[in-house]
Amino acid sequence: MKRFAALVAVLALVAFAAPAFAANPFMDVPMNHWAYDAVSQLASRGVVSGYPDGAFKGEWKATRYEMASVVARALAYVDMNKASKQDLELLKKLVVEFKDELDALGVKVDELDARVADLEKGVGKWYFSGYLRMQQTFGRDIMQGGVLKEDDDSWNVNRFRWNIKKVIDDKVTMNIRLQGGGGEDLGVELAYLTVKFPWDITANIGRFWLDWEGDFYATDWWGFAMDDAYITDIRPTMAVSFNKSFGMGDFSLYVAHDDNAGPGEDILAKGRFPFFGTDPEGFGPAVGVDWALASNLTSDRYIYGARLNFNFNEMFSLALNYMKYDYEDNAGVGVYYTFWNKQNGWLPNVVAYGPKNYFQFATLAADVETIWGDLVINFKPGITLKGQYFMQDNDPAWQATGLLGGGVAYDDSPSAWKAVLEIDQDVLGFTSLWLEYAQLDAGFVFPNGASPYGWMAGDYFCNDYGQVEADTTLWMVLAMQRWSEKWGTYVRYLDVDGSQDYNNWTVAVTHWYTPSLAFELGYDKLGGDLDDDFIWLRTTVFF
Amino acid sequence: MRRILFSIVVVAVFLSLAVPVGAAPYDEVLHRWQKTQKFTDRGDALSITVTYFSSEYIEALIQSEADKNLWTADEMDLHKYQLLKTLRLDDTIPVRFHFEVMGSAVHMAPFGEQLKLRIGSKTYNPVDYDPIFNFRVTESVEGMVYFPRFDEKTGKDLLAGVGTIKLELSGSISLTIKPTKVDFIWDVANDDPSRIYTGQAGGRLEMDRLIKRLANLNKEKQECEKRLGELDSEIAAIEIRMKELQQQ
Repeated sequence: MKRFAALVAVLALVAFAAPAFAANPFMDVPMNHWAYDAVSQLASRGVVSGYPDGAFKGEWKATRYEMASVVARALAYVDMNKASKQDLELLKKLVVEFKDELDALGVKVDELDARVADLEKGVGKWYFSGYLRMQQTFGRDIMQGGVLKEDDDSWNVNRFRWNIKKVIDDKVTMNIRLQGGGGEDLGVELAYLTVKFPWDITANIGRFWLDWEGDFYATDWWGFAMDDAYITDIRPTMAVSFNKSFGMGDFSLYVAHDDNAGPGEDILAKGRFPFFGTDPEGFGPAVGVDWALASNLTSDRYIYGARLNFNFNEMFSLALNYMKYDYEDNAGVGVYYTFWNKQNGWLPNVVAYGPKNYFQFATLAADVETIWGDLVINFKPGITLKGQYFMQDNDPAWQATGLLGGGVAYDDSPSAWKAVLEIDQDVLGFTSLWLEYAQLDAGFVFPNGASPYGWMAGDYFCNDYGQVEADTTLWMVLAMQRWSEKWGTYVRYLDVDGSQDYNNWTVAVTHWYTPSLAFELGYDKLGGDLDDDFIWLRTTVFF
Repeated sequence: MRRILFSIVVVAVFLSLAVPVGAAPYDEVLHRWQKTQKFTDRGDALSITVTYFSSEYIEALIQSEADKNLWTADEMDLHKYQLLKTLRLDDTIPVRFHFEVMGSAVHMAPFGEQLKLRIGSKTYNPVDYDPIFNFRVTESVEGMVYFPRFDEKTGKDLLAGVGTIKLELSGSISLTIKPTKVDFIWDVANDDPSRIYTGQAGGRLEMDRLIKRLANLNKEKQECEKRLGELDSEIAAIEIRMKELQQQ
């Protein structure tokens, strides 16, 4: 009844307000007109509220003005999260059908069209996506409480990722990612704006990943850091980047400020001496003491980067890059010592250390400056040769690591290079292939603080802080096979000849049970100076 | 080191000369115009393939479909006609996007504002695209995007005398993409779209264009005739009125 009264009121208003040019404003919409069904369909799917299914199925016959008012209201209250492509098409069709009446109602059809267009484009919407990953590992040797546990099994929720995106308007997009799991608390990993400026300049502002070397490292299906960038792929920190395109080239700038490094994050020099006895901190039997000279407490730093990339044609591209990790002058430097109880030659990165003891005594800057070139040659479709050459200029404090730790003076201008041959599966028919060879000078620093090679076995040729401990050569072969939409496999072999000589075989089978649910079963074998093998199973659901 | 580098180059050259295993004669041409970029991010993955419809690609595509389906010459011609109609090559530069999502869902809306075609120093936004790209992608989606072929003001062919073009896709479409943007590059200097407008299909397409043009001309003619009629009646009315005034 109320609805009827409202319709009568609208009708009366419309009747007096209707301009003279509107032809036959009170003409009935025939009962078999598609508009009845269209509005009912939208109501039944919950896209518009207040018009339950069947609202227009009774004896009541609407005039074109009444129907237009219904359309106007539908557009005003449409639930954007429920509207599908078909719903939007229906709404657009209704707007077109009742355009004259909507005009007469004083509703600007252009605005409605724009609103429908916005709905279709997604402007103003919140988007959510992410994944949940569980991992079971069987038979891996680990240190726990200072004791080596052989063939340990571990089950955990490895990672939860929740992406949030909002297109603010045609120039600004906001992205946020919450992430946790695998020992990490749930927190904000990414939060940044992408802004389009005049003169073809795009900026990212906030916490985001910066990666200028994405073409130069190999990953499995999902990028579990089997290989990574040497200098970039910088962990999210508050930063600003600009990109300006010109013809076949691009120029990029990057500035970040990291005031969250924390005590002892940036090691300037470190060493180790034997100590047999009991850790006075109560951590059990100790076999040594580690000490480190570290930037401490106020280790703020700036990161500056610039990149010039030019594509000469579709076959050949060249890029020049510069990146500097610039520690502020007031960066504190101190010493810490830790009792050490790992087994000789075994998994140095999973040692259960005692608490670090700090003593700050000086201030010092410790910069890492890298210039490098990238070259890509696409020989023919599916076959690419790539190369990178790095030249580094490190602060003397960095190269003191070896001098104080083991009597080896590192060169403070180390270099590194790598060459990659990549072949698509389309070319060889049954497998893709990634062949990589790299040479790194002792003292070369991976400024991200860790080796770029692998979560399984890549960390042993550099120290825990990303500095290569001895001249190192490295081979990697990765062959991936996508057998069908449901099945994939890969084999990887990594051979490292550096401060430790070792190799790592990985074999894995992946099954996509549905496009949103994947299982991956893998086997890893560590050889050479290392000796371990284990099986792992990952289950990932995407949304 | 030299020996290793030399080995890599030798393998690369050998492979570049080798015929791909089990490859059909057209595969290499088809692959040449399809550019794929893959992105991974510690658990997320996205693959984007973009195809530029050069005349060489279209010919290879039609021929490969004909071989696969054992088409007759007439069937092949019909397929060519339908394909060319879909591509709208007479007034657009068409490209096909294929997104394969192997991770978190991707939301690219408004898709038309996420990409531009760079020809020389100028960029062009799409004139039309499949609205399917504006909706959530959880698996795989493909569709067409059309860029203008002629300059809006001068009517000049934008690809005339151009060597290389670059399609730029914004990195903000997905968190899996870390660079600010993704580029797809093609050398189009030797591409000649008029080459494919031959045979029956070409004739039919020309006929379609002529029918469309004829319809437009007829419409214009009717408008002119209507206006002429209006002017005639106005002239007649003026003459009548003038006669009336003369008689007074």
